[in-house]
Amino acid sequence: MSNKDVEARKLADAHYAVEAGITQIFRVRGSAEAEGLSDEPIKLLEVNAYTIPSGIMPLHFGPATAIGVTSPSTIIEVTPAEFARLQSRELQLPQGWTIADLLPRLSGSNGE
Amino acid sequence: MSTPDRWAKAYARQANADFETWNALVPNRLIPECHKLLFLQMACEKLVKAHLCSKGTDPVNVQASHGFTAKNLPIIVREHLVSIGKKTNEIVWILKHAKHLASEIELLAPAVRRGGQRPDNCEYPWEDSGGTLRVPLDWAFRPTNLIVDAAGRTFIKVVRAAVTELLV
Repeated sequence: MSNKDVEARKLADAHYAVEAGITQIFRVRGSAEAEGLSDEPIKLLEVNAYTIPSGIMPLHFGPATAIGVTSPSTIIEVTPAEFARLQSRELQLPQGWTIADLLPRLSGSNGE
Repeated sequence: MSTPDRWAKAYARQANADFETWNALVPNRLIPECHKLLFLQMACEKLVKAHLCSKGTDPVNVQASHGFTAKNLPIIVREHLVSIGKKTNEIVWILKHAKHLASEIELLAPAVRRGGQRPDNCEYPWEDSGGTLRVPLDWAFRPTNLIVDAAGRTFIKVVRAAVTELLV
Protein backbone atom coordinates (compact mmCIF):
# COMPACT_ATOMS: atom_id res chain seq x y z
CA MET A 1 0.00 0.00 0.00
CA SER A 2 1.52 3.35 -1.03
CA ASN A 3 1.83 6.28 1.32
CA LYS A 4 -0.86 8.07 -0.67
CA ASP A 5 -3.18 5.09 -0.21
CA VAL A 6 -2.61 5.21 3.54
CA GLU A 7 -3.29 8.94 3.60
CA ALA A 8 -6.44 8.56 1.49
CA ARG A 9 -7.72 6.07 4.06
CA LYS A 10 -6.92 8.49 6.91
CA LEU A 11 -8.76 11.30 5.14
CA ALA A 12 -11.77 9.09 4.47
CA ASP A 13 -11.84 7.95 8.10
CA ALA A 14 -11.72 11.57 9.27
CA HIS A 15 -14.61 12.50 7.02
CA TYR A 16 -16.73 9.48 7.97
CA ALA A 17 -16.10 10.41 11.61
CA VAL A 18 -17.33 14.01 11.42
CA GLU A 19 -19.88 14.04 8.61
CA ALA A 20 -23.34 12.88 9.55
CA GLY A 21 -24.51 12.53 5.94
CA ILE A 22 -21.69 10.63 4.24
CA THR A 23 -22.66 7.19 3.00
CA GLN A 24 -19.77 6.30 0.67
CA ILE A 25 -16.29 7.57 -0.17
CA PHE A 26 -14.44 6.48 -3.31
CA ARG A 27 -10.92 7.13 -4.52
CA VAL A 28 -10.79 8.99 -7.82
CA ARG A 29 -7.77 8.37 -10.00
CA GLY A 30 -6.30 10.22 -12.93
CA SER A 31 -3.98 8.84 -15.58
CA ALA A 32 -1.18 6.53 -14.44
CA GLU A 33 1.29 9.23 -15.37
CA ALA A 34 -0.50 11.84 -13.24
CA GLU A 35 -0.95 9.51 -10.29
CA GLY A 36 2.78 8.79 -10.32
CA LEU A 37 3.62 12.42 -9.61
CA SER A 38 4.44 13.10 -5.98
CA ASP A 39 2.42 16.32 -5.88
CA GLU A 40 -0.70 14.82 -7.45
CA PRO A 41 -3.49 15.33 -4.90
CA ILE A 42 -5.39 12.54 -3.24
CA LYS A 43 -8.79 12.67 -4.93
CA LEU A 44 -11.94 11.52 -3.15
CA LEU A 45 -15.54 11.32 -4.32
CA GLU A 46 -17.83 11.60 -1.31
CA VAL A 47 -21.54 10.75 -1.40
CA ASN A 48 -23.17 12.97 1.22
CA ALA A 49 -26.92 13.17 1.78
CA TYR A 50 -26.47 16.42 3.71
CA THR A 51 -24.60 18.31 1.02
CA ILE A 52 -26.13 20.52 -1.65
CA PRO A 53 -26.44 19.60 -5.30
CA SER A 54 -23.82 21.49 -7.27
CA GLY A 55 -22.81 19.16 -10.07
CA ILE A 56 -19.19 18.06 -10.16
CA MET A 57 -17.29 20.71 -8.23
CA PRO A 58 -13.77 19.64 -7.24
CA LEU A 59 -12.58 21.51 -4.15
CA HIS A 60 -8.87 21.70 -3.50
CA PHE A 61 -7.27 21.52 -0.07
CA GLY A 62 -3.75 21.57 1.30
CA PRO A 63 -2.21 18.90 3.54
CA ALA A 64 -4.10 17.95 6.70
CA THR A 65 -1.08 17.43 8.90
CA ALA A 66 -3.17 17.24 12.08
CA ILE A 67 -4.38 13.82 10.94
CA GLY A 68 -1.14 12.76 9.28
CA VAL A 69 -2.05 13.63 5.69
CA THR A 70 0.88 15.37 4.04
CA SER A 71 -0.47 15.32 0.46
CA PRO A 72 -2.84 17.94 -0.91
CA SER A 73 -6.30 16.65 -1.69
CA THR A 74 -9.21 17.26 -4.00
CA ILE A 75 -12.70 16.48 -2.74
CA ILE A 76 -15.75 16.05 -4.94
CA GLU A 77 -18.79 15.97 -2.70
CA VAL A 78 -22.05 14.87 -4.34
CA THR A 79 -25.59 14.12 -3.21
CA PRO A 80 -26.90 10.54 -3.60
CA ALA A 81 -28.96 11.73 -6.61
CA GLU A 82 -25.87 13.21 -8.22
CA PHE A 83 -23.99 9.97 -7.59
CA ALA A 84 -26.72 8.10 -9.44
CA ARG A 85 -26.33 10.54 -12.34
CA LEU A 86 -22.57 9.92 -12.30
CA GLN A 87 -23.13 6.20 -12.48
CA SER A 88 -25.51 6.62 -15.42
CA ARG A 89 -22.93 8.92 -17.07
CA GLU A 90 -25.36 11.82 -17.06
CA LEU A 91 -22.71 13.62 -15.00
CA GLN A 92 -19.02 13.29 -15.81
CA LEU A 93 -15.89 13.63 -13.75
CA PRO A 94 -13.20 15.94 -15.13
CA GLN A 95 -11.34 14.62 -18.17
CA GLY A 96 -9.25 11.53 -17.41
CA TRP A 97 -10.57 10.96 -13.88
CA THR A 98 -12.29 7.71 -13.00
CA ILE A 99 -14.07 6.42 -9.90
CA ALA A 100 -11.82 3.79 -8.33
CA ASP A 101 -12.01 1.74 -5.15
CA LEU A 102 -14.56 2.26 -2.40
CA LEU A 103 -13.08 3.27 0.94
CA PRO A 104 -15.74 1.76 3.18
CA ARG A 105 -16.76 3.14 6.54
CA LEU A 106 -14.96 1.33 9.30
CA SER A 107 -16.90 0.44 12.41
CA GLY A 108 -16.79 3.21 14.96
CA SER A 109 -16.71 6.11 12.49
CA ASN A 110 -20.32 7.15 12.61
CA GLY A 111 -20.32 10.92 12.11
CA GLU A 112 -21.73 13.31 14.66
CA MET B 1 -25.60 56.88 -8.36
CA SER B 2 -25.59 53.09 -8.72
CA THR B 3 -28.51 51.12 -7.32
CA PRO B 4 -28.11 48.55 -4.52
CA ASP B 5 -28.84 45.85 -7.09
CA ARG B 6 -25.91 46.93 -9.24
CA TRP B 7 -23.71 47.04 -6.14
CA ALA B 8 -24.89 43.52 -5.30
CA LYS B 9 -23.79 42.24 -8.71
CA ALA B 10 -20.49 44.08 -8.43
CA TYR B 11 -19.75 42.56 -5.00
CA ALA B 12 -20.82 39.12 -6.27
CA ARG B 13 -18.47 39.30 -9.26
CA GLN B 14 -15.56 40.19 -7.04
CA ALA B 15 -16.54 37.51 -4.49
CA ASN B 16 -16.60 34.97 -7.31
CA ALA B 17 -13.09 35.96 -8.42
CA ASP B 18 -11.83 35.85 -4.81
CA PHE B 19 -13.33 32.38 -4.35
CA GLU B 20 -11.83 31.01 -7.56
CA THR B 21 -8.46 32.50 -6.64
CA TRP B 22 -8.59 30.82 -3.20
CA ASN B 23 -9.49 27.47 -4.75
CA ALA B 24 -6.69 27.79 -7.31
CA LEU B 25 -4.07 28.74 -4.71
CA VAL B 26 -4.89 26.06 -2.13
CA PRO B 27 -2.93 23.18 -3.72
CA ASN B 28 0.19 25.33 -4.20
CA ARG B 29 2.64 24.46 -1.43
CA LEU B 30 4.80 27.51 -2.16
CA ILE B 31 2.10 29.99 -1.18
CA PRO B 32 1.69 30.68 2.55
CA GLU B 33 -1.56 29.60 4.17
CA CYS B 34 -2.31 33.14 5.34
CA HIS B 35 -2.33 34.42 1.77
CA LYS B 36 -4.62 31.64 0.59
CA LEU B 37 -7.06 32.25 3.44
CA LEU B 38 -7.10 35.96 2.74
CA PHE B 39 -8.94 35.25 -0.50
CA LEU B 40 -11.44 32.99 1.26
CA GLN B 41 -12.11 35.68 3.86
CA MET B 42 -12.56 38.30 1.16
CA ALA B 43 -14.87 36.05 -0.86
CA CYS B 44 -17.11 35.47 2.16
CA GLU B 45 -17.15 39.14 3.12
CA LYS B 46 -18.10 40.25 -0.39
CA LEU B 47 -20.74 37.53 -0.66
CA VAL B 48 -22.35 38.91 2.49
CA LYS B 49 -22.16 42.47 1.19
CA ALA B 50 -23.64 41.37 -2.15
CA HIS B 51 -26.46 39.63 -0.31
CA LEU B 52 -27.19 42.65 1.88
CA CYS B 53 -27.23 45.01 -1.11
CA SER B 54 -29.50 42.62 -3.01
CA LYS B 55 -31.97 42.87 -0.11
CA GLY B 56 -31.98 46.66 -0.32
CA THR B 57 -29.32 47.68 2.21
CA ASP B 58 -27.74 51.00 1.30
CA PRO B 59 -24.30 50.13 -0.16
CA VAL B 60 -22.77 52.98 1.84
CA ASN B 61 -23.64 51.10 5.03
CA VAL B 62 -21.69 47.97 4.09
CA GLN B 63 -18.54 49.53 2.68
CA ALA B 64 -16.63 50.40 5.83
CA SER B 65 -16.82 47.27 7.96
CA HIS B 66 -15.28 43.79 7.79
CA GLY B 67 -17.56 42.58 10.56
CA PHE B 68 -20.58 41.30 8.64
CA THR B 69 -19.56 37.72 7.97
CA ALA B 70 -20.07 35.96 11.32
CA LYS B 71 -23.62 37.25 11.67
CA ASN B 72 -24.84 37.16 8.10
CA LEU B 73 -23.10 34.27 6.39
CA PRO B 74 -25.01 31.63 8.42
CA ILE B 75 -28.23 33.39 7.41
CA ILE B 76 -27.23 33.16 3.74
CA VAL B 77 -26.36 29.49 4.22
CA ARG B 78 -29.73 28.83 5.86
CA GLU B 79 -31.65 30.66 3.12
CA HIS B 80 -29.87 28.66 0.45
CA LEU B 81 -30.48 25.33 2.18
CA VAL B 82 -34.17 26.16 2.66
CA SER B 83 -34.52 27.30 -0.96
CA ILE B 84 -33.27 23.97 -2.30
CA GLY B 85 -35.51 21.98 0.02
CA LYS B 86 -33.00 20.44 2.42
CA LYS B 87 -34.54 18.58 5.36
CA THR B 88 -34.78 20.44 8.66
CA ASN B 89 -32.45 18.09 10.53
CA GLU B 90 -29.84 18.48 7.78
CA ILE B 91 -30.14 22.28 7.86
CA VAL B 92 -29.79 22.34 11.65
CA TRP B 93 -26.69 20.14 11.50
CA ILE B 94 -25.01 22.18 8.76
CA LEU B 95 -25.90 25.51 10.39
CA LYS B 96 -24.45 24.46 13.72
CA HIS B 97 -21.07 24.08 12.05
CA ALA B 98 -21.49 26.94 9.55
CA LYS B 99 -21.86 29.45 12.39
CA HIS B 100 -18.52 28.42 13.83
CA LEU B 101 -16.79 28.42 10.44
CA ALA B 102 -18.20 31.85 9.52
CA SER B 103 -17.02 33.26 12.83
CA GLU B 104 -13.49 31.93 12.33
CA ILE B 105 -13.37 33.20 8.74
CA GLU B 106 -14.42 36.69 9.86
CA LEU B 107 -11.53 36.69 12.35
CA LEU B 108 -9.04 36.36 9.49
CA ALA B 109 -9.58 40.08 8.77
CA PRO B 110 -7.19 42.23 10.81
CA ALA B 111 -9.89 44.75 11.72
CA VAL B 112 -11.91 42.06 13.54
CA ARG B 113 -10.33 41.44 16.94
CA ARG B 114 -13.24 40.53 19.25
CA GLY B 115 -12.29 43.15 21.80
CA GLY B 116 -8.60 42.29 21.57
CA GLN B 117 -9.22 38.62 22.43
CA ARG B 118 -8.47 37.42 18.88
CA PRO B 119 -5.79 39.54 17.25
CA ASP B 120 -4.72 36.68 14.96
CA ASN B 121 -5.28 37.66 11.34
CA CYS B 122 -4.01 36.90 7.84
CA GLU B 123 -2.27 40.18 7.08
CA TYR B 124 -0.37 41.84 9.91
CA PRO B 125 1.88 40.72 12.79
CA TRP B 126 0.40 41.03 16.27
CA GLU B 127 1.57 40.69 19.85
CA ASP B 128 -0.18 38.02 21.89
CA SER B 129 -1.29 38.41 25.51
CA GLY B 130 2.08 37.12 26.70
CA GLY B 131 3.98 39.73 24.70
CA THR B 132 5.18 37.34 22.01
CA LEU B 133 5.25 38.79 18.51
CA ARG B 134 3.30 36.59 16.09
CA VAL B 135 3.47 36.62 12.30
CA PRO B 136 0.63 35.39 10.04
CA LEU B 137 3.17 33.39 8.00
CA ASP B 138 3.81 31.12 11.00
CA TRP B 139 0.30 30.93 12.46
CA ALA B 140 -1.97 27.86 12.30
CA PHE B 141 -5.31 29.37 11.32
CA ARG B 142 -8.46 27.48 12.23
CA PRO B 143 -10.07 27.63 8.74
CA THR B 144 -7.08 25.71 7.38
CA ASN B 145 -8.91 22.69 8.79
CA LEU B 146 -11.89 23.01 6.44
CA ILE B 147 -10.65 19.76 4.90
CA VAL B 148 -11.45 17.88 8.10
CA ASP B 149 -13.99 20.13 9.84
CA ALA B 150 -17.56 18.88 10.08
CA ALA B 151 -19.57 20.35 7.19
CA GLY B 152 -16.42 22.11 5.91
CA ARG B 153 -16.76 20.99 2.32
CA THR B 154 -20.53 21.54 2.25
CA PHE B 155 -20.05 25.01 3.74
CA ILE B 156 -17.65 25.89 0.92
CA LYS B 157 -20.07 24.56 -1.69
CA VAL B 158 -22.91 26.66 -0.26
CA VAL B 159 -20.72 29.77 -0.32
CA ARG B 160 -19.89 29.06 -3.97
CA ALA B 161 -23.54 28.40 -4.85
CA ALA B 162 -24.74 31.56 -3.08
CA VAL B 163 -22.20 33.67 -4.97
CA THR B 164 -23.29 32.10 -8.26
CA GLU B 165 -26.96 32.84 -7.50
CA LEU B 166 -26.18 36.51 -7.02
CA LEU B 167 -24.37 36.69 -10.35
CA VAL B 168 -27.53 35.83 -12.30
